[in-house]
Amino acid sequence: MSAWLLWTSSILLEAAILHVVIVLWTPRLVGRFSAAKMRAFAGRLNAIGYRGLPVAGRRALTTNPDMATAFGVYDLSHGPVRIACTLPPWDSYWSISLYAWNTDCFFVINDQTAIAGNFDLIVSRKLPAEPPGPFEMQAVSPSKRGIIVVRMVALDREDSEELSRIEQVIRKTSVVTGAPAQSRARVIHGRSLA
Amino acid sequence: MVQGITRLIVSSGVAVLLGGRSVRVAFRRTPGRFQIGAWSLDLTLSSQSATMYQRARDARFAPYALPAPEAIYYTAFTDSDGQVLRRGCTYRIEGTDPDTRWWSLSAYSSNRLIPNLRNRYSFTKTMVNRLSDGNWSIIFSPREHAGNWLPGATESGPLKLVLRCYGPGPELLANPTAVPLPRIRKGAVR
Repeated sequence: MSAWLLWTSSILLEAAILHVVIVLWTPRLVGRFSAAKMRAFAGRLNAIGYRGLPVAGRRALTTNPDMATAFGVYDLSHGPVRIACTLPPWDSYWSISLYAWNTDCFFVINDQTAIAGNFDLIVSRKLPAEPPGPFEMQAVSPSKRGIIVVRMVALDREDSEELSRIEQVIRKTSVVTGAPAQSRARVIHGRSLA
Repeated sequence: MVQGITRLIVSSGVAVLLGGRSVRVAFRRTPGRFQIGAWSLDLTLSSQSATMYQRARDARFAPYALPAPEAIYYTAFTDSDGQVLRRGCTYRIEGTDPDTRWWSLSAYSSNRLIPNLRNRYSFTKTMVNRLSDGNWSIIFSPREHAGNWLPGATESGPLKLVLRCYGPGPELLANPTAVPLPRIRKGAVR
C-alpha cells in the first residue's frame, strides 16, 4: 500500500515539476527558436530582413496577409544598438516593435506617434545618461537580445507599385551597433508629424 | 531490476502525460480572455503585465503580436450560433466598421492562410465593398460568389477568423468587449 502511495506521489510530483517547467520555458523556447529563424533570415545579428507579405504555405502562424513585415534580432552585448527608422511619406499604418527574449513587447511606436518622419531608436540595457537628441528615441531592453519587427499595411496586396514603395520604405530601416549618441541626429532631415 | 526499469518508464510516461495535459487545461482556463458572442478577445497579448500562464499561452499560440492599445485582435472559432467553424462550409460575415484606424478580417485553417487561386486571404477596411448603409457583408465559401468573396477550401478542416484592429479609436479602447462585432452565419448566402 505504501509503495503504491509513494509511486503515485512521485508521479504527481514529476507531473507538477514538468507543468511548471513547460509554463516557464515556453516563452523562452519560442523566443530562442523564433530568434534563430529570424537571425538566419536576416543573415546576422543586428540586421533586419524584409519578409514582404505573407502567402499561403509559409510556416509562420496566423500572420496578417495585408501586413508587410521585416524582422531581425538585436544584440546588446557590445553596447547600445541604434535603429534608423524611416516612415512612409503617405498615410498608412507603420510600426516598429521590440520584443524581449520572453516574447513580451516592451516598446512599440507607429507612424502617428513617432517623433519625426526619420528618427533613430536607441536600444540599450539601461537608460543613457544623456537625454535623447531631437530625432532620437530611447528604449530600455529587459534582455540582452530581442526581436525587432517592422510592420506596414498594404492597402491593396495586388498593387505591385504600392508593394514596391512599401519595400523601399521598410528596407531603409537599418541597425547599427555601438553607434555614439547624437551621431545621426545631425544628418537627419525628418518631416515632423507633430 | 527489469521490473524497476519498467516501473520507472511507466511512471515517467504517466507524469509526462499528466504534466502536458495539465498545461493544456491551464491554458484554456487562464483568465484574461473575454468571449463576446462568437469572438474571443485577449488583452494580454505580448503584454509585460501578463501572468506566466498568459505569457506561455500567448507565446505558444500568438507570439509577437502587437499589444493593446496598439492593436486589438478578435478571434472566432465558432459561428454566432456556437457551431464550430469549418473551412469547407459557407458563412456570411456581416458587420460594420469598428472604431479603428484600419482593420482586417482574415481566415486561417490550423493557423495558416488558406491557399486559393485568387491569392486572397482577407478583407480590409480599404478593400471591402460596402452596402448602401455603410455596413459590409463578406462571404466565406469554397465556391465563388459575387461581392466580397473570401475563398474557403473544398476539403474540410478547422477554420479560424481573426479581426485585427490597428490604431483603435477611443470608443473601442474604452470598452473593447462592448463594441458591435461581426455576425457569422452559416450557409446564409442568397
